[in-house]
Amino acid sequence: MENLVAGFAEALQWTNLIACAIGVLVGTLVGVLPGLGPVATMAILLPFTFTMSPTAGIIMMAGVYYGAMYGGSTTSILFRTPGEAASILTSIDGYELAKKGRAGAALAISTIGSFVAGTIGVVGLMLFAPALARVAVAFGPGELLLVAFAALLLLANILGGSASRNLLIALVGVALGTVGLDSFSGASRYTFGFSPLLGGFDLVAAIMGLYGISELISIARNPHGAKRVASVRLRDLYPSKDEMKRSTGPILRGGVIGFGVGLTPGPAAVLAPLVSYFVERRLSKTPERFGKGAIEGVASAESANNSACSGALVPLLALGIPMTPAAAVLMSGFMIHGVAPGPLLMEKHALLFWGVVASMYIGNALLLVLNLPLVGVFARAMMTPFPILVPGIFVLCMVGAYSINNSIFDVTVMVLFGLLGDWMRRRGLDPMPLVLGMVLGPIVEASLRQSLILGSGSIGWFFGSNLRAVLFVLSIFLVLYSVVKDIRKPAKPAAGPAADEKTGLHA
Amino acid sequence: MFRRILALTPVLLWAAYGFQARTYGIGSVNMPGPGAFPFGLALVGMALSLVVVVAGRGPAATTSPARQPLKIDRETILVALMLGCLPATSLFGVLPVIFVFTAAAARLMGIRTWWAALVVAAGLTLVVHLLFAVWLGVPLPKGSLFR
Repeated sequence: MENLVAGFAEALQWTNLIACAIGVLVGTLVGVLPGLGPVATMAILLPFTFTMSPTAGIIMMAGVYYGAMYGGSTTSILFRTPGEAASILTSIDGYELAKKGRAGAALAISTIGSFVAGTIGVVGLMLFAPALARVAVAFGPGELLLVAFAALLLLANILGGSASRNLLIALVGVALGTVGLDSFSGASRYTFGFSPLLGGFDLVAAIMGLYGISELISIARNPHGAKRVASVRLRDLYPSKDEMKRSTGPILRGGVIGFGVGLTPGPAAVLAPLVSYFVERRLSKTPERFGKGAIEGVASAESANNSACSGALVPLLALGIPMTPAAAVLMSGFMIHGVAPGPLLMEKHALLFWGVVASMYIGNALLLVLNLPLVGVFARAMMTPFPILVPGIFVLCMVGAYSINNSIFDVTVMVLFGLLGDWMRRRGLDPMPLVLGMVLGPIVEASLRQSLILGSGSIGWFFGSNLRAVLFVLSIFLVLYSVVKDIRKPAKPAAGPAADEKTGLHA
Repeated sequence: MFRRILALTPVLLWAAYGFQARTYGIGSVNMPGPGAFPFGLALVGMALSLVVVVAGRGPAATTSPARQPLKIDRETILVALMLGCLPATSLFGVLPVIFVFTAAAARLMGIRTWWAALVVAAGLTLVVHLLFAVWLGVPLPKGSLFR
């Protein structure tokens, strides 16, 4: 407790407070803009921290990280254009709510959820960091393989239609993820001598295409069919009592789930909303509302992805092991200032550690104060006429996609995936399994190959630890569940063009 | 019948994917090569495609819209404009392309006069320049003609 008080005293110093405010502001802006994610922005800002004190520098970079997670929901809810994979689930129910004139409520719930879950994450980070870090490193390639596999199966079951069809789309995503250099041998695969393909398809560009660009094409096809909000009344800007009540449980559970999932290596920010959303749909008495504008869907997904940010910092701060790209950039920030994150951080640099933790409380509060008044401004953006909105979104996506690697090829990827996304929408197919396949594919491949090498090709190796055995049984259960569900309840055929605006989520 | 045959396209695509994977080296169970995972994936993909086709649940079984004569509509023009931006950006740079695209797309989406479209285009181009190039320091492409 004394340490935390000292941390607050450190974080409330003017220089640190300003660094925190700049960090969360820049983070929010970057989160709102599609393309330029928190990792790239932290890397761009890294040289600016050279002249700062170590505490101020780390506070600013951490602020960018969780600020971007806050801002990421805005374009997802308003324009169905997620800037990163973590916001896809938010866009499903958020966009449906926005079309019903409840954009303000969705944005406000996402802000409040982010604040509460972010705070849960910081409390978890403060109280359990050393103990949980050991659990995190117990996650070897075998565990990671089974978690990624289970996530793919989970998604196939969450979405509408038959699980086998969803799984097939996810496999296409996994196959797209194999394009480029093989991380083990360095061999180029499926590039056919075309050098820009060596780096593979950029995930963010693909997501912007599948969701954002396909939405623009859909609007151009039928501008009169796309629902628009004619006016935004003050009472529509904020959530009603009923919406607040329905969101409380999902926010709290999402915060805890997100923190737990955030501890695992890999794309925790993508998996956390997925698990949280699945849990809420299972717990709901009216699961059929999910995917059609359920406020609980926004609350669960958004709170989980913010809490996962704090969870991802646990292995970095407690053990000095970055498990996500953003944590790796943050680690380089520590190293530049001559501070080694890890078990000795709390002993040797106690003030810095507690200062950063305290600044995360302050940063979360700042984000709430900053974002809630902006809800009205953002919600009114829904009233922008199509002649400005359509070119505006395309231009922002185009420059955003270019800025990922400063490459026109990424813009090409975005447009091509936009055409693919439009084709999928017209056939009533959900692009989400494709995205998750692209996210999880490289992880599944790397961990499968590592597992085979470690276990000398034996399947018995998966029962070598309790955690692996439990995950293995869970994965088998999910496979059987998918097959039995498909056999017992034949899926309705996809509805083609009529299913255009539907997400296809089913009870 | 034709639709059923067409539905086998995914199976053939997976077969081609798996065939190509063999050229990268499969390796052994203890030491899988770069082609092992894609090859295994292709086998699973082929099996799953067959299941989907046989069960009649795949994309091919969906009710596709009736074939319509080719016509150039708003959607086609927008897609053409988007695709046109790609080579144009390499040649002329991103800002001139944004200006032209915005003016054309705004007019296409129903803005009343060309003057209004040009004003929107100028405003958006300025915003992009200030936000990305000036403030965030993103090096926007200048285009090979202007280098």
